Amino acid sequence: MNQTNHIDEQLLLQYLLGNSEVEQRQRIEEWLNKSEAHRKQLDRLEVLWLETGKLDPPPVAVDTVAAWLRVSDYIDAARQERGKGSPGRLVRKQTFQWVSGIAAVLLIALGTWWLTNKFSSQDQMQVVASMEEVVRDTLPDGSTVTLNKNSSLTFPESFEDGKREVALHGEAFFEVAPDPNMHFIVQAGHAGIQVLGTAFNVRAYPGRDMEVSVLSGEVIFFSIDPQTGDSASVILTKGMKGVLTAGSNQPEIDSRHIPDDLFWLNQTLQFRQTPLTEVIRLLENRYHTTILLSSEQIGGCRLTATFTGEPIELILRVIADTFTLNLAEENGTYLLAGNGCVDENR
Amino acid sequence: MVAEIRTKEDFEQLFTTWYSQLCSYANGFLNDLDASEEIVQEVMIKIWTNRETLEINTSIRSYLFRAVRNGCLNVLKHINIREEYKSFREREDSSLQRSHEEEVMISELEKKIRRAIDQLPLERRKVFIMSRYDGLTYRQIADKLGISVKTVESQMGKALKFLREELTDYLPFLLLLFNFMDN
Repeated sequence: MNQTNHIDEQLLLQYLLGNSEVEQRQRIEEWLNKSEAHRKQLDRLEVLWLETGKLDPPPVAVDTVAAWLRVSDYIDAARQERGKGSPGRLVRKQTFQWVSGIAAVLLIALGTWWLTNKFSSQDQMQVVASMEEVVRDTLPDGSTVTLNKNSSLTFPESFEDGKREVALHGEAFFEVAPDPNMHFIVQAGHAGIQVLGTAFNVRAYPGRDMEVSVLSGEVIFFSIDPQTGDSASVILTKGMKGVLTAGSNQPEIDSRHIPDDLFWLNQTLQFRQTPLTEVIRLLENRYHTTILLSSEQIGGCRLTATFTGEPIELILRVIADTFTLNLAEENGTYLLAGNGCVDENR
Repeated sequence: MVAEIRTKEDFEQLFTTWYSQLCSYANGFLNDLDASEEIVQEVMIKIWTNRETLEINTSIRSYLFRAVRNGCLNVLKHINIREEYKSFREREDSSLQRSHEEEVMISELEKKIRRAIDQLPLERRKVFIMSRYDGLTYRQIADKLGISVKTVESQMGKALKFLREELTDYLPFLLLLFNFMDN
């Protein structure tokens, strides 16, 4: 079939939705006039489009396979732990204990390997580096990495020996393809993160605190003392953050919540009971704008909300509505005016 | 019904059949996909843990949807920001109303369409949902997923083709209705 004459669903949909260019529209209309069957095909598509639109609530794009692996892991672990404690809301806790058990064993093996050979030199190594912009790439196993500015990642041409090892300088977000048989290990200095399949962010600039934020699944965040070879680790699950203070060998769980932690990656701002003064400071930084408050009291209002890529006007509108404030704009400067908040938490 | 969950394979079957639909249902309450997934996973795990003692008097479907709804309502209880709460309440109320009817009857067609969408490969499903339900342009979808507009186009084409083939038994009847109303 001639490629240019081929009318497919995609073209027909654009036609139905009125998005076709003139030339394309003519081509489709000619095609429609050629046979009743062609018209039927368009009708069928239209019905399909209308019917799918009636679904309420709309379908969501969840990764059922990944979810099943997670649940399956959990119930296997729970089976071994049977008799201890009660089931139910213990999802996190039991997984945690189970992972720690394995972690202890793994870390010993890992520590030895780490100090002796890291990457064997005969492997063909590849490097992805970002300069002034964020770069996204796919690794040999299908995992993806998004590098923040001025960062680099080194990895072998193919992963072998049951390990997936990469070395990071700077900051990157990883979405690791699940593979129960092959650990995925990110090395940064004398510390590292080990997982089976999950999504997490690593900030590892030499000489600064190293931070790991987990978006889904679990990771082991470990550090190995270069002198003694002793290892220390923490397990981080979804939503948790770990920090390795510069010069330390003991990763710790970090309970501080940083609303704009992943802004570089997905333009997300996640406020949790954040005072408005802090909210405004972050918004000014991220959106390069000026925002004024009519009184200090307003600054004490606490905001819980998540924004992803919304324009600054919309974010401020939501804030204004939430706390019954007036929003005004003049020459790129915003003003929020009104009364402060009654603190509901006291 | 749950008596049928004897082996892990039975459970996997139940999980894969309902997971995505339950997440969609939970997301209708919470508007937070991560939280929705978490609730559905907890409900599923509870079913597995209690499979031997669990008594279900209705269909497994009603049971699942009710358990997920209760999980969502628990989460909603903890939300105290006034404005957010209000909009949650509105969503909650409309979802509740609907869910009663839903338990009585959900059309064969809707089931079939949902199942067909679930069968799309993940990225194709993402593209289709963003286009059909989130109303994003191809450009916006491409940017969000870090793929080219051409890829979005071809994913949409393939998704529609697949759905048309999957629903081929239903379309002639719908078409009839459609033409009837048209005239």
